[in-house]
This record gives sequence, C-alpha cells and structure tokens, in this order.
Amino acid sequence: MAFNQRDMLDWQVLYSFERNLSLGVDFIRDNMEGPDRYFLLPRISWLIHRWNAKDSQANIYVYGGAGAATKDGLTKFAAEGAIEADYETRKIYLSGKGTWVGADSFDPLHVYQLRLGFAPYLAEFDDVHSWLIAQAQYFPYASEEKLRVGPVLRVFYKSVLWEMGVSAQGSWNLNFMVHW
Amino acid sequence: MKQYLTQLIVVIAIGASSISFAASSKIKVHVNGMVCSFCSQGITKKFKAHPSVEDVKVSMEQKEVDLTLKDGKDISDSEITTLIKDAGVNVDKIVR
Repeated sequence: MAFNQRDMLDWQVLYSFERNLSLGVDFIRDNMEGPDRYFLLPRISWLIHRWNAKDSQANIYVYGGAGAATKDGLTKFAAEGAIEADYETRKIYLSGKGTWVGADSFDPLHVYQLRLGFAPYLAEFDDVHSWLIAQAQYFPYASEEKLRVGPVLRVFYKSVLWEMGVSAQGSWNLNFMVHW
Repeated sequence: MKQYLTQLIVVIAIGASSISFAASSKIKVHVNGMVCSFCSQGITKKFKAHPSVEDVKVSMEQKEVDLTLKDGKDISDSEITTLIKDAGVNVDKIVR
C-alpha cells in the first residue's frame, strides 16, 4: 500500500506479468523535510512466498527499483528497496512494511509501517467489504511527527479499494487502488 | 418385441448420455487462501475468459468457486488448478 498523506504523495502503477512478479513505476513527492523532492522509480516486485491455508493467507514481498530524484533543480540517480509481509483471515489483518528510498547526496527517505485490522462484518465475494485498521507509521528522517499513529478505514468493492485515515497529530492519509 | 426392445435401449442410451452431459456441466472447486475478495477478483476474470466456462460464482463463506460450463464443453482439472493458482489461491479439491 502507498504512503499518501499531506506531506507525501506516492503513486504506483504495477503490472503482474507472472503470478509472483510485477513490473511498475513509483512516483513519490516528499516534502516532509525541506523543499519538495520528487522520485521516479521503475521497479520490480517479487512475491517471495505465499501461504494459502483453509482460512488464511500470508505473504512476503520484496521490491526494488532504480531511477531518478530531483530537488532544488538538481537531478540525481535514485534507488529504492522494500520488504513487506502480511497475514490475513476474513476477520483480521496484520501487515508490516519497511521502505527505503535514497538518492545520491539527498537524505534518504525511509518509512516503517505496521497495521492491525479487523472486519466488523463478514462480506461475500460481491459485497462491499469494510475494514477498521490501526496504523503506525515511523518516518525517522522527519524532524516533526516521526511517529504517526491512528485509525484507517478501508473499503473495497470488487476491484476498487480506498482507504482514509488520520493520525493522532491530525495528519491525514488517503489511498486508492484499482485492479484491472 | 425386438422392435420395442430396440426402442427401449435407444431411449435408455439417450437418457444416460443426457444424465452424464448434465453431470459434467457444473464443477465445484474448493479453494484455500481465499480471504480477500479484492485480491481474488482475478478468479472470475480468468474463468469468464475461458471458452468453456459459461458462468462463475464465488463464495467466500464456502471457500468455493462454482463453474458452469457451456454445452458440450469441458475444462480439465489441471487448467482449473493453474487458473486458480494464477488468481493467487490454491485448489483444495475439485468436485464434478
């Protein structure tokens, strides 16, 4: 999931060409510290392993990419790497993610995120699904609001998903995803 | 008598072929790992694109994918297993 909030924009387009591999591109705008900086990063994602049990699914993903970053009129080579794991049943959801984005002579952008969610009702395949999620994000490079903790509401219907959340410090976050 | 016997055999043969035809037109696939419908939307997409499949119904509660085949068409167990795996879940068993 992306990190869209008031001081960060994170757009991703991904294409799965194999069941465990996807190619895509990340566009990030970050102004958490200082002036806007932009990252454009083609990337590859790899589903390392998936466990499908009768009533649950667990996954581990890694992804990495290389591209360019720009700040104050300077453009530099940039790279990113991340690891993500999740466990889910129809009622509970647990995920953790660590992301690192760096560019030559720019301070790295790194984010760590933990989520714990539960479904207030069990929905069928073609129903609207809702999740209440407690989210903690840690931005070590930020001078203010390093830790952002708050609720997220996730709603999805068929191939469209959106999330809306707010931290205890009043920072909002918003994500939107479509599967084709 | 022989004529009636022949007609009876023909009627039974037609009935038997109809019964076997109707029995193979629906397939129930029990799956593991189907806990997120957003992630599993590929199931209906992949099967609806298959030339032998008329309809697909998915039940999260029953952990099942019910396939209705087109008249005279079939889909092999290995094809079903591959499509289910491509959609991100696993086949537990296939019931015809």
